[in-house]
Amino acid sequence: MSKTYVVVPAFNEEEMIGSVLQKIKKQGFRNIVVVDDGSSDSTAEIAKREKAIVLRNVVNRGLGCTLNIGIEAAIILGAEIIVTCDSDGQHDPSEIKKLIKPILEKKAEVVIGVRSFDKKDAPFSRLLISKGAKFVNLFLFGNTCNDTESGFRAFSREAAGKINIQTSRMEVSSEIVQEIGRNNLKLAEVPIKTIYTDYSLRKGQKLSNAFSIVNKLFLKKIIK
Amino acid sequence: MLMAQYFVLLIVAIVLIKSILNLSKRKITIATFVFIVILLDALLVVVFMPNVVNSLSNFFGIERAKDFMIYGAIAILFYFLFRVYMKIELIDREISNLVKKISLKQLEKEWKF
Repeated sequence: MSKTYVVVPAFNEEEMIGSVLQKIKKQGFRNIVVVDDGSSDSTAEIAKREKAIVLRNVVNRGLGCTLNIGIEAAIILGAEIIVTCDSDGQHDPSEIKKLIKPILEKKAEVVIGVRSFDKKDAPFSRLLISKGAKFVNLFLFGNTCNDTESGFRAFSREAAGKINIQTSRMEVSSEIVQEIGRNNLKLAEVPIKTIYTDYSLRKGQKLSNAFSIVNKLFLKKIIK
Repeated sequence: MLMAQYFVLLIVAIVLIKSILNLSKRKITIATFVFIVILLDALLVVVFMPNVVNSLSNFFGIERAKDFMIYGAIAILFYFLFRVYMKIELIDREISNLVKKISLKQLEKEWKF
């Protein structure tokens, strides 16, 4: 199997990071890069204990910057496939194999895990964020993706090298979808399950960030 | 000449001298200097040639010259706000790039790659 690296961005995740990394390793993925985004708790220490390669940001910069660092590190380390997975436990690492399959079969260069919002346990706020982001991405930026805000993705090495992340915070998810379109990368969508817990809901995207995200995406278009 | 006109003239003179000094010390670019000079010219026109403002406000279909001035001032303020916002965004990117470089250095130092 190709050399797969799992990139896990983390900020104050001492509660969950250990179990997330154990689950990833249990699936046979030993190459894990944890980028600790300036946590004030013991996230980095726990990740080191789990034998992950840990990089620490000197100050908190946000998800975009942290993902950018993780992906770049994986490329330097020689990754053939790069998977991004949230550290709050909302993604099921047993689905990584399903996620990278289209890349291994050369059917896609980028794969995005699309969350299902059918089940009753999916909170309304998350459904609203996902649908709102889909609408904004489609009508304002012309990107078609069924779950632009999903953090569970896989990239081939070449695709990861082409994606130019410039935003620093939560807007990175939409930016990645824009970059996929800009570089004409072959995109596949794979349905994934999402584990909603009080903890993951507390840590994830907030509806109040919506305006700031759209604003930043517009600025990115202007500044280039 | 009115008292207000003396006051504006003094302000324009101070800003112009400061801008020339800043330009000679290369603290500001030529483009910024030209922009400041244009703004100062506009201020002088408004204060010393109010008829021009009247004609302009009529041209834009705004009845009162004062309203035209207020709309213009709001537009200019929005423009400056936008410029500041862009500058903050660029600085934000530079900080992120710096943090990225520092973090990636750990790959060599701590992880020996």
